[in-house]
Amino acid sequence: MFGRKRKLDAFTCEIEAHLRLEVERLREQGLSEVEAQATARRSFGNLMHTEERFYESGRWLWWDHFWQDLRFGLRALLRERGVAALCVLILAVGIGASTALYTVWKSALVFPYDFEGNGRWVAVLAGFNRQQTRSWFLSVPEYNDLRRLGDIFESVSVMQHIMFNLTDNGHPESLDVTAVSADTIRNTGVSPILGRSFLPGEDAPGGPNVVLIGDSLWQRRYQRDPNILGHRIRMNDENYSVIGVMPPYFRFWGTELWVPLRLDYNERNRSHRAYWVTAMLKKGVTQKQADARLAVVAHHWEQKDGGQVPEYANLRLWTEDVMKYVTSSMKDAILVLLAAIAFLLVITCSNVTNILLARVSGRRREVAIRLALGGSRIRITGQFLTESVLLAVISGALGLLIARVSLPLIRHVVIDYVSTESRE
Amino acid sequence: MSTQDTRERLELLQGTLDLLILRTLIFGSQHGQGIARAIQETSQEELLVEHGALYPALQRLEERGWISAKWGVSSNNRKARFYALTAAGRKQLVKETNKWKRLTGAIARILGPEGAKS
Repeated sequence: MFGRKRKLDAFTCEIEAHLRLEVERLREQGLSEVEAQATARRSFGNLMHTEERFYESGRWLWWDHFWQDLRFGLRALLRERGVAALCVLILAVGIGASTALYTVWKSALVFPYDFEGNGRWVAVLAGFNRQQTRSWFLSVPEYNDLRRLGDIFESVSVMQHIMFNLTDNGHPESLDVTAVSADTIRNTGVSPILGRSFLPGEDAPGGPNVVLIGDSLWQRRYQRDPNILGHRIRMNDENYSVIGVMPPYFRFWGTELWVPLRLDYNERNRSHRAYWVTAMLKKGVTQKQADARLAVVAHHWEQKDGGQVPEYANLRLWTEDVMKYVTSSMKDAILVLLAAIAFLLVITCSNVTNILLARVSGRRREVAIRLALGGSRIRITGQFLTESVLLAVISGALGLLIARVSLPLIRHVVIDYVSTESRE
Repeated sequence: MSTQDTRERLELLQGTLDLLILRTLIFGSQHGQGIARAIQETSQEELLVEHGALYPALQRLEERGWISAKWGVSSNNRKARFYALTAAGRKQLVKETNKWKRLTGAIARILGPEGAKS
């Protein structure tokens, strides 16, 4: 802004110099001072016009206009305080509520799985073309083969769904359990809120009976007992010691209990497919490259074991992004939530639009006067746009504040809702 | 007292002022008033150059990088802004001059000898 001011001053200075030089030249020709000044002015033409043209060619013009519009807009809003306050309030509540909902969605449903290896965590699937089926599960020998693919996978983990009967203090319960290889939980990037997760080796045959429990189970059955760590719980007539409690949003495959998966790595049956195999892609390896490598593996299996394993004919192996699978399993709940957010915003906007429309038609006179005085269409549109932006910025700031205050409240409601939804 | 001459003078065609300014500066740097004088004197007072129109044109040329400007002192010890032709300006002058010659040549051919007579 100051840059432009100085430039205009310099320009005026230059014109003054011009007039001075011209006057002096005319004086030399014998004119009186008064005559010379008049003549110089005359041959210069319209001074104002020249300055105006200079000003308008400046790069800071838009800034001046914007500043004018902003000040005028503020005055207009202050003049109609009631209307402005109403708009701001509606927008702020709408923005606040949808921001809070969106934040919950993002942090509760996406973020916990938004770990460092996101995009690299894949499940390995098999397609048996002859039977037109695809399997999310693989057998132990197949898992062993995949574990050797160090060129594409950083780590390969395996898990299995099982049922356990919980029979310690209180009534017996039958619960879904996910048995996982030791690094699986760590790969999700979620840490327990209490205790620790599995250590490498705890999934070895003959390893200790340890269990991680979910927040809901902790609350329901153990009344959030902080001394739960080390506590022995009885499942399937065996004692397991609790090593950690996972956070409420962590509903890994919809279960509340996680135990180490003990595999008999010497199992030979290639058709006994009961294990979900996931892998962490090596850094820099794309899913496409991994799939290409897996195609070679599939071909190799078919060559080697096709005789004993008939479903290997035209076998296909490929990867799926685990995150996509996780979120798609909660798709309905998420869609409902996102639709709610969208509707909230639409309703808010249409309300405010109505108010603003009424306000604009009340300002027809003003527009007519400005047009008559030579205001360009673009300036008048700009004026209204600036006012809207002003309104939006104020409401946005207030909305964020509301979101911040209401976040803890909404978080609980939504997580309960989504948790029950995704369990079904 | 030539400036008070009431004889009807030719108004500049659109776009020719830039060309005249560039041409004037070929003899060395000059301030605005000097450029205005030079154009009028060289055209033997045939052209009407509104001095005020000169400055927006100078600014335009400066922005395009065809001329450069700096403050200096005139021959009669007055502070003034002096304009000088840049290399790009020189190229532009050649280009514009050729264009102008072709244009006037073509128009002269169309108007023909009768046009010249009347």
